[in-house]
Amino acid sequence: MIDNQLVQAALISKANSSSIVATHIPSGTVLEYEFQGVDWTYPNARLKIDTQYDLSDDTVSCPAVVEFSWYVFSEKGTSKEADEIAGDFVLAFRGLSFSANGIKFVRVKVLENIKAIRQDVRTWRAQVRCRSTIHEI
Amino acid sequence: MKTIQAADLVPVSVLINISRRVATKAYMIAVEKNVPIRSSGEILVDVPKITQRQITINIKLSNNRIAAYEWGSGIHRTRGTPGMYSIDAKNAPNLVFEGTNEFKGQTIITPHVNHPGVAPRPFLEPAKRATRQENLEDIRKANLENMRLIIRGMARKV
Repeated sequence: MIDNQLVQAALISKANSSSIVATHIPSGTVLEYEFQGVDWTYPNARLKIDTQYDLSDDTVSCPAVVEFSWYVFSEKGTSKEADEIAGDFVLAFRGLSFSANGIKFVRVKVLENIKAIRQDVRTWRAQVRCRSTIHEI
Repeated sequence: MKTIQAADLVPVSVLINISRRVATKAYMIAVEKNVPIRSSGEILVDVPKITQRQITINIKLSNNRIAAYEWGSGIHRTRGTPGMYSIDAKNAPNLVFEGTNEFKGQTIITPHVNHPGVAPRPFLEPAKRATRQENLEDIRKANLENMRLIIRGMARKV
C-alpha cells in the first residue's frame, strides 16, 4: 500500500490540472476534505480518501486499490451547479489512467455519481465515488 | 480473488437516500410536536464514512438546542444525570423575563434561577421507527440486485 497523503496529493494535482474540472471551478482550488484554511469560496471541490486495501490477499506491497470521493460544494439556490461540477469530475476521471507523484493510477472507475443533497441550510453537496488500482512507479 | 466491499452490495447513494428519508420524517415529526426547528436544513445528513466492511452515515443536528428536545434536558433528561440548570445574572444585576405557568402575566425580576430544562419531544427515534420497513426494503433490494450481478460476474470468469 502507498501512503494515503501521497495518493491524495497525486489526485489533487491531477484534478487541479484538468481542463474539464477547470470549466466550473478555478484551477488550484481543489483541496483535501479536511482542509483547515480560512479561505473558503464557492463553488469548490474536496477530495476524501475513503479506503485503501491490497488488490489480493497474497499481495506483499503493490498494487493496491484505493477508493476515494470527490465532494462538490455549492451555495446556489438549486443543486444544479453542484451536479454540473460533479459531472465534470465524472467526465475527467472515468476510465482515466495517469501517473502523478510517483504513483500510477490504472483506469479510474466511477462507482457512483451521487446527486447533490443539502449539506446545511445554505450549501449543496454532491459526491462522485471512484475506485482505482494504484502502484508505485 | 476480487474483494467485495460493503458499498458493492449496498451503494452509498441508497444509504444517503435512506438518511434523507429519516431526516425529512424527523423534521415533519419535529414540526408536529412544536420543536423549535427553523428548517429541514437543521437536520443534516453527514458525509459517509466508508471502509471495506462498513458504511456509516450520521444524521446530525445543527445545534444542541434541538438535541435537548430529542432526549430532554435538565430534570427531564433521559441521558446522563438529571438536574436543574443554575443560571445567574452576569452582565446585569437581575434576570428579567415574562413568567409562565403559575407566574403567567407577571414580569419576573431575580438574580438567580434554577431552570428545569425541557421535557423530551423525540423526533429522531420515531422517524427511524416510522421509516424502518421502507429502509430495510431498499437495503434488501439493492443487496439482492448487486449480489446477483457479482455472482454473475464471477461465473463469467470461471
